[in-house]
Amino acid sequence: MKILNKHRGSAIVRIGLCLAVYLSWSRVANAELELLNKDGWTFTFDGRVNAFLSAGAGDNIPLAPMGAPYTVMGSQSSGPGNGRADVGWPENYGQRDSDNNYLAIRVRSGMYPNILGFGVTRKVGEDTTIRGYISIWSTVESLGYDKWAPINAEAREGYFNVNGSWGTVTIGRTLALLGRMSYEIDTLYGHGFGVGLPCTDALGPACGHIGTGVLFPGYGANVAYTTPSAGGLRLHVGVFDPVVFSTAMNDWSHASVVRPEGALSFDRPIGMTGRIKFEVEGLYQPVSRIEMDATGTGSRRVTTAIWGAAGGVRIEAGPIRLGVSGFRGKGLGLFYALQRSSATEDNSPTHELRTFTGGYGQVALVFGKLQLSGGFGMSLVDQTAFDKIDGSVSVIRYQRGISGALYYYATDSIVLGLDFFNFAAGWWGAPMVDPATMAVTGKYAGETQLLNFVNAGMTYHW
Amino acid sequence: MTTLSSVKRRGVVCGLTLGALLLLGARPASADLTLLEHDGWTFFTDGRINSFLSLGRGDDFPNPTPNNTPGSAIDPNTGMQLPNPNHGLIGSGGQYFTAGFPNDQGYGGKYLGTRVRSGFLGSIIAFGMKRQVTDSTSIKSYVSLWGTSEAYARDRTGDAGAATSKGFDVREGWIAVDGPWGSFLGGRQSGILGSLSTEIDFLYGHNFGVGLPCLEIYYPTCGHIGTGALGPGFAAGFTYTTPSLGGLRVKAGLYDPVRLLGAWERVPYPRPEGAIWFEQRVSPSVWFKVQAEGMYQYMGQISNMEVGRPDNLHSSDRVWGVAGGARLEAGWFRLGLSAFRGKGLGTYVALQNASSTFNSATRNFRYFTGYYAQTAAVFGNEQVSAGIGRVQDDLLPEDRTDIGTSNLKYQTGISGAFYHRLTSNLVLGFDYFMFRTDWWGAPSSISVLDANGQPVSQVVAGFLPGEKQVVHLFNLGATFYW
Repeated sequence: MKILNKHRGSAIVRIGLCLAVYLSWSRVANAELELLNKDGWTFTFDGRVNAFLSAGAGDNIPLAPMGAPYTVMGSQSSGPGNGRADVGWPENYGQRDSDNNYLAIRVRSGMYPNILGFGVTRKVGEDTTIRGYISIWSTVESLGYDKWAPINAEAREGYFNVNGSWGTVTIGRTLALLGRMSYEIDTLYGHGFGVGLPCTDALGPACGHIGTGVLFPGYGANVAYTTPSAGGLRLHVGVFDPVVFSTAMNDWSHASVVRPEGALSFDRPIGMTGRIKFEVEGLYQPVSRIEMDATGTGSRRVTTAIWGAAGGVRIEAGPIRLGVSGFRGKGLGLFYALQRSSATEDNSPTHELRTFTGGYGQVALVFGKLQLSGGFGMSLVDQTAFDKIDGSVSVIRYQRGISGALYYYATDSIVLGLDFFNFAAGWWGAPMVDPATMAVTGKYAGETQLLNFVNAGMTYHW
Repeated sequence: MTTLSSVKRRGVVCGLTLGALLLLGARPASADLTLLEHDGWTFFTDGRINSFLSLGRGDDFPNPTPNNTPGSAIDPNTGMQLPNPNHGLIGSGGQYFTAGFPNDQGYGGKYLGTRVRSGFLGSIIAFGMKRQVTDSTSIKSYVSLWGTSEAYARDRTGDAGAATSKGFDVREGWIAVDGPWGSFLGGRQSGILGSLSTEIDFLYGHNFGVGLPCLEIYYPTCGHIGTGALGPGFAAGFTYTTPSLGGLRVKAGLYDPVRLLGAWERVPYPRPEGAIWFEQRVSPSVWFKVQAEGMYQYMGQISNMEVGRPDNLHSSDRVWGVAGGARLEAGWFRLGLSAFRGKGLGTYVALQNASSTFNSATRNFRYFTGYYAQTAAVFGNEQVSAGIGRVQDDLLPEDRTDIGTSNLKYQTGISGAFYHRLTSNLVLGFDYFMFRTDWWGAPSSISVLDANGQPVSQVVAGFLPGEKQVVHLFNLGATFYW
């Protein structure tokens, strides 16, 4: 599966001129291998296999001093040990030394892991085709350094679309819309053939710049429509399977209606060697919870809304590629849109959702078979009013990433990659609360974490 | 419970090492099925589907030997002799890959179970892409998906939506670059230590059979693995294999490290593994191969998980293993011999996370030794096979004074099989496996009175009689492969 297929799955890019342009300019894009073309049916296959030697060294996630009345957000989460990114970058259980430093060398999958994708297309009218596509993803490393944990394949995509001169309707599981531009920039100019930041120490695939300025849209079940291109301008709208943040009645565990997401994109070539694409994206999802009375009985329904807005632009001119993106929203999460994590909501009885902001810039230079990339991104978390008086936790403040990469396209299907990623995270510092009066008397110093990763490996794709 | 639950999930041991066999080109009578050749690309598939009717009967998981050691003190309050201390068995409580044959079908000290299950290798569907990039260099990728025919724990409701649900286990996913300079392979692939013993079991023993079910409740089976053969398992890694120098080849690899959950968890460095082998055809009908293998991994642990504690100590140790063996094919006759020894290895697979691998209190690693012999006679479409193997788990000094535990001593397997090849892709198989487990027996102990007149346990010379479990397994089924 390539970024191209993600686009198809998201009903963005149709086969045609755009594809040709895309292929000619994008190192990450690939043609599918046609296995069969018979009686109007076309059966295609695409995919990739890769592995990277990945070394990480630096600080483990900061821990509160012994006897401190607070914890550092993320330091007690079980998510990272189970392969789910949360807050900061915790070691997999046992991988730090007695000074809380982290050092580990793994063999792991890249930002895209091993993928097998199968497509079936049939022409049903003069200008109408139906296409089904399923992709199976898996990593090379096992969960949590556990040699015997099975590698469970994930059917990350499974959809069909109907494509005609009137546009494209897509039904099934595809990449969502919010954050898609930032993810596309990271894939094309940053880490499509690299690793970047491993999402967790326990399990991949890796994150590239996701979590540090890039917002991963995630995959979800949806029904979506994309208009035909009007001079490069397209509108994408879809309704997605809703997401909840808890299973507890008194938390955000009710999502009664589907989630609308949308995007407006403009994509066109400039001259013979240039291209510009920009996109704005948005989502909105109501969620509710049951407020309990003093007896623990549900008394009334409280509703709020998760929302997000994002956008970005990427420009290609000769050997230069440049991409810039940003996002802001309530209840979004640090790594991917609508992420259930320690950072999503505060500890107040009303479970207030936090607001997240991210910015990301990525540049690449392509000289023949060589590509040099550099990127910078940062995601920020706003404190809620309750966070400022909650002496029990130091809330995450930011996650920052600085990256560099060198890729060598040995053949049209083999890419060697060497990349570096500097990850930093900072916390707000827990408020000091007088236990007698419950008044805030000050603030502990904010914690910080700094880690460096170096990744070298190879990708074979078709 | 961390160890147990994690072990329960694992797609383990199993038939193991299809990868190694494929890499070594040892998969018999099977070729990749080319689906497409186009513009220099070759897309191919291979795989297999099988099922076996599997009957097992014998001893249930044993109870601890009663402690009848004479010499316990008289309780001054009752005038009766104090009861002797009790002990438990390693592997009891349903711990898998630890010792013996735990199951939930026992009754009255006996086990009887019949299942329809997958064989030594599960059901497999694999896809590969090949491309010739120069006259002498090719690139190949390979992804294999494994599944089983049986449900987890005879529970169909667990087929979906649970951690034990049926799903594909992506055992292999690698890229290989081959040229006259050798072969470089990166991705999820077979380990190296134990690969020859598993190759022998696969080729001459249980390719189309069952042998010992690794677990009664689930998973592809083990053949002779766990009774003298050592499974190399699968892991992410990079390996390089030299070209053949008159039959001599060397393979070296760096693998993603493995931690032993709940004990040795700090594994910052990749694990080197390597093998050297020599193979030669000395006449049109006589061929032999000898191979030696090795593995080494740093392991660390921290005594406490809180920063700033003065008693926060870091300790380290090493897991290592060596193995070797030989295969001989002369006309219709096949013979394979192998052995291994190492520290912290485990009984079934190298670097196995089980309570028999290390002492749970001191976390010191135990030493394991295994021997395995397998023979086969091939006459046209018929093959008759027989094998015998044993793995021994040595006692640590502290095990000799741990009166609360009877540790694993041996796991022994004796097997016989008959295979009939109906077509070039369909094989019927019937096999028998005798699985015997011996425990060392807990150190003998009595109860005495301390200076305050309170009863305490005291170790005395000798061991209680070791516990024993014998299970006989009969397996009948068919394998379709391509």
